Amino acid sequence: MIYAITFRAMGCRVEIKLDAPDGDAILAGMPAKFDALEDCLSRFRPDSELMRLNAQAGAWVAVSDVLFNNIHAAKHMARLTDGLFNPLVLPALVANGYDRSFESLRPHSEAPARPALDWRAIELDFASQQVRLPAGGAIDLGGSAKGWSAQRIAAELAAYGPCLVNIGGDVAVRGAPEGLPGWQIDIADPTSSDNLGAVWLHDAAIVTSGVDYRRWTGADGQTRHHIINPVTGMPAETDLLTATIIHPDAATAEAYAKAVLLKGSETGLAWLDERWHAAGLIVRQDGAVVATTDFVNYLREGIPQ
Amino acid sequence: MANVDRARKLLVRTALVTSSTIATLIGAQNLALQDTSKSEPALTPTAEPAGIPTTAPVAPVEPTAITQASPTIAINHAAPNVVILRRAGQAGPIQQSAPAVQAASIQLPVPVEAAAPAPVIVQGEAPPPIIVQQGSSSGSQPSTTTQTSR
Repeated sequence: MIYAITFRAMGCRVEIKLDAPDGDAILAGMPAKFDALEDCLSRFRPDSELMRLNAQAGAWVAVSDVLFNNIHAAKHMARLTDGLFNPLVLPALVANGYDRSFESLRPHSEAPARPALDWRAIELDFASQQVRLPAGGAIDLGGSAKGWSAQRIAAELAAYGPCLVNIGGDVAVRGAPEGLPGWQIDIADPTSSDNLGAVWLHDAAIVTSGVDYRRWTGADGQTRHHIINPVTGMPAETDLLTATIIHPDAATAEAYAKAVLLKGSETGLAWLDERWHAAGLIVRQDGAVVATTDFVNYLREGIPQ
Repeated sequence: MANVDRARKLLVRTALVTSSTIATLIGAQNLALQDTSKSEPALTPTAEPAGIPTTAPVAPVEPTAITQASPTIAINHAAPNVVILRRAGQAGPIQQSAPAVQAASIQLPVPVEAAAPAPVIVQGEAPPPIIVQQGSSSGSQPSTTTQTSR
């Protein structure tokens, strides 16, 4: 029996499915779990553990397992993407006007662009579980926390049965519903209300990132979006609308999606194709759709791996 | 005495084998050299009387003018393992049945002004969580959609 729950958390729609006899009772605890995650990871909660860490940049701070693991994962994502994904973009996001949850954004004056500090300056002490941020630095986990959370919660729910965790389009699945090759996941077309197609996945993740939705107009009349180029500190200039990545790990898929967006259509997919176990599909701003052959195989065969 | 004769015969035979082996190796090398020189014109004897060879003066060779490539040539950046599923300007779902080809070209897009959607502002409190029973595992169920966070 498949049970599904939907609610809003982390600034987006969350959908969780679980194929288990007591799935309804298990899923009932999900909103509280997400609330606890946001108490730890959200930059929109002034008293979150993350914001308390950001306020102590330059000093060693002991942190919880969840925050430590998230920051560790974020550094790993930065390494995998050669810094295109950089968790130290919070000052740049704020400077561009994204200083509150997207639902609450209002046009107001922005500060000058601030390139992100070098992600390698984030120090982790594994023995004492402490973190030291570079002076003047601040972390935003919006580019990795959803994927990390989806992957972790899916792993926990897998103990009960096949499951799917969708956090604002970052999807992690474990197992497959009985009698099916996997979980069916539609790929939205950002240029229309239709879907581009569907894939069936089991024990994998699929993440879509893009510049098509979270956009706002600054006080200077310029349109901005939340995909920040860490080198310039400005919204990325890209010919892409969205990038959809399939990978065994949702956090990695999320980071790769950001990197592909920043690289653009000319080199993004070729770069992704060199990555292990990664398949990608991009939608350009002119409506063209391009994909790696691995991704095409997911679409054609309808079964994963 | 018999031993001396046997030794002499052995020495002669050894020399014969060794010399024939060396000759074979040299012959093979010559054949290889001949193969590499097949393209060279063969020298053939002529009926002309031998004399001091003369050559006509050779006119100076004008350097070939370097011309620019036509500006209308489109440079296609071919990327391995990348497939175009929908071209710019087309609409609708992508061709899922299209065969996956190993090489495709990606043409640089014509700049198009994309209309930015208005930001969606959620008013009021978020709706309460909903738990629904989606039926048996083997039955049909609504699919999940991956899209940018909203």
